[in-house]
Amino acid sequence: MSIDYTDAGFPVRSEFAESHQRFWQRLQRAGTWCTAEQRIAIASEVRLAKHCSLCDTRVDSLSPRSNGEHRESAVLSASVIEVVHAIVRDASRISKSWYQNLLAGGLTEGEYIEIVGTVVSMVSIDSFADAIGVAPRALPEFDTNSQAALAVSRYTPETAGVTDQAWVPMVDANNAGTPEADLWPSERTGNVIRAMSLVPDEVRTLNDLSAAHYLPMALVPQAGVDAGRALHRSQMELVAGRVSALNACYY
Amino acid sequence: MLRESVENHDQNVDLSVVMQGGDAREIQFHQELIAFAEAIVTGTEPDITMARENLLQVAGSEVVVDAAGVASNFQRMVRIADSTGIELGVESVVAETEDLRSALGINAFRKA
Repeated sequence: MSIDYTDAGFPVRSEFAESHQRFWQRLQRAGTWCTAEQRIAIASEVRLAKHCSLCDTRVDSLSPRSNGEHRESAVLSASVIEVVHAIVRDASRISKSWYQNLLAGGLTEGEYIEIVGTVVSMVSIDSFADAIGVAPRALPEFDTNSQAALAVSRYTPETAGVTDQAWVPMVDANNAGTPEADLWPSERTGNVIRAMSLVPDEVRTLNDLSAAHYLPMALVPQAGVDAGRALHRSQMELVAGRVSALNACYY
Repeated sequence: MLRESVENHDQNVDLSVVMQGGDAREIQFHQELIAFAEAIVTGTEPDITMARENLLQVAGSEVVVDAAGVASNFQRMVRIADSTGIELGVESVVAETEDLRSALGINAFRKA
């Protein structure tokens, strides 16, 4: 089943459907730390989180992690569900101590980054559907017997480490000559990209989706470049800035 | 990035518009773009529909699609920043933007 947006009522440039289709195909395969079943369950949980009554209560409460438990899942642990709901519903109040408690509870740094990558991609794809006025696209299915759906690689970049630039380990900005050289031009990227680099495929997904939704990464630092879109760059940055401010984003 | 892009387009825009909404009149369709962005982040389905229709009417479908793309892209980027605890980055950028971040009130979003 292919993704399309022909039901929008107006033309939608094909890069959106194409990049979203590639993400669906990635969900159908095991990632670095999560199986296809887990990745698709995380994607599904993103949609459940939007209507979660416990999250409604927490968002309105002074303490962001007030008492209560999310519903149980046959596929995902309570920690994973907590991560998904927090990022979808209350990301601006996520703290370092919350992150460290997750690690102390057994979640690995690599698992965390892969969950973050899957959640934020889903948020973006579903938010696009909301914005153009179509229903969220049906999630993909996976082959339970396929080795590709089951075999996680647990790959960890050799240069990844914790610095004073983030809570999470990141690949060094100087990535020349490493297996991660394709992620960004060496020494020329922002922390928001590097933040996902403990799981390099999450940066590749980020780059792919950003190229369709916003700009190819190479053009992002060039504030005068319009990239031939219907919006010129000031219009893009006005929308980007307002969205970021409404999300209370310091970065 | 908004500051740099308006400078590159020789526009004069009060950057507080990103924090408070309102007026960025040198940017074409500013009111409809801001309303669309706000509806996507904080609005209900009818709010989004109304904002989309208003933007569609004045700017056309290509602008609506691109604005939807940018807004949904930053729904992702802010969550990456929030969930990984990143810092702003190189010291020169931090120093260069300190006054602006302070004036706009962005520093209030900084995590403990």
